[in-house]
Amino acid sequence: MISQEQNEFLTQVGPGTPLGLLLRRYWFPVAAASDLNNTYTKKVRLLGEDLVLYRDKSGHLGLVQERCPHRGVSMVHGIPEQDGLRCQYHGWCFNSSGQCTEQPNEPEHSTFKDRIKIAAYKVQEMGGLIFGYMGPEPAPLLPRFDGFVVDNAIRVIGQAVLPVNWLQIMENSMDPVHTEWLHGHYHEYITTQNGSKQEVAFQRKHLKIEFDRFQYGIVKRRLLHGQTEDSDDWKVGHPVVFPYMLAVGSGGLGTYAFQMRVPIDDHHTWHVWYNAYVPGPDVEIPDNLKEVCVYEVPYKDQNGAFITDYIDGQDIMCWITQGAVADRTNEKLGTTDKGIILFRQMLKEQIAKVAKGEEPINVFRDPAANQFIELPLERKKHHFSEGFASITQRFQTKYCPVAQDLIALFERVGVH
Amino acid sequence: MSEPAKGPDKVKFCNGCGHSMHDPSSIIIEYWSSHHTVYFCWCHACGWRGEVVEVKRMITTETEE
Repeated sequence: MISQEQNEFLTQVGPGTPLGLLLRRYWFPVAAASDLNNTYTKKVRLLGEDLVLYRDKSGHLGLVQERCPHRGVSMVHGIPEQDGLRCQYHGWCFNSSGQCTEQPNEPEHSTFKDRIKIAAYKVQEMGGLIFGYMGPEPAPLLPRFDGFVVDNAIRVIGQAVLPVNWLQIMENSMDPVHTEWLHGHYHEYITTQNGSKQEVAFQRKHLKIEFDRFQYGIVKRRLLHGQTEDSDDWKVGHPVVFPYMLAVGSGGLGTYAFQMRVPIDDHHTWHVWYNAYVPGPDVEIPDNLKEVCVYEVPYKDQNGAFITDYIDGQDIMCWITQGAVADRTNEKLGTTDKGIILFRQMLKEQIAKVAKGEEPINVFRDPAANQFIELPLERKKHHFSEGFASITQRFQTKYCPVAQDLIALFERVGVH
Repeated sequence: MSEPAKGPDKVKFCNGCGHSMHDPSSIIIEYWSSHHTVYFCWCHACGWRGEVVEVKRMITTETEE
């Protein structure tokens, strides 16, 4: 339980808020690169700010405030130019720094345009995603975490806009025990109801859980009933990469799986499931799996009911039923919630660092240390012991249009 | 007479430096461990991190861990 003031402190992401100032120190995905394949612009809302992402006629990306400062229309309908985006209403043109470069109907020698500058943010493309940075200059490096840059990988990106604050989603990742119930016993209950009863590895009881701070965030580890302390689940674990990403998967040969919780505003989160599958260095990736596959992850059926027969749908149901912003003034935390407590404290600590003018954790400035950032990942995760095909069809990847091709490829090359 | 403090409001000052724990930059999180009510505290002023346990019942013999 925390006070209402603290709940607001930890959940409000807009400009000028303490958390908003912290989050603006990090690069966030703003779109899939393929979103701009057939159009020049895309509306983006990030950290409570309405923006337009565009690719100009020179192929350069830009991310600027959505509204033209002249009369306030949305430049999502703007015209791409060689260098920037032109407002469709009166032709004002802005470059990627936000500087107004043309006002075609003002007097020829007017200096008015020189005094017009709009909010503009840096953008970079990596691994099939476009990332934006909304913080102070100089911008840090875009972190090259392993799954984004690993060679010879098949990349798929699931996405959903969820009507909830980002923090309750992150707190789910700091709560290992929920997997035993929600993805274990509840999964059996639901699948029994629909006639396809599944008893799964997730049901195994937790004996203990631990959380360790590390260079990039927090590593969480679990010991399950029947395991020894030599198991990868206990010895290695997997990380929450501060502040907004969970990394799971098998690491190295196999699967990198990132879950990114991108705060749209205080009440909405863009959830991005980014998976990179590595079938092996000598395996030729089939042509139909070479393009990054982007797809929607549904969480409600045609009747408006939650879809709860897959793992991520079970999580989403819980997050949404907590309310748009979970009421933490009434919660009853127990000893298994210590990871949540640690994450909240870490947020406060990093917010305080930013307030003092210091750099928060997990900001990269050294190119040599940013070539390939390897994250710790358990290789023999008990929860995935049913094998690649079963797991792929029980996570949100079941909605990936190329899921069956992936399963067939991994079976053929013998990666499990 | 003012009402007794409830929940996280029960801890008013940092154990490490005496700074007000009601400063919004610090944090107190209440949780339960068996029959104990525990207040996890982190003070932004000095960085002290610790727990305050409310004693409702005094146990006079030590139990085995």
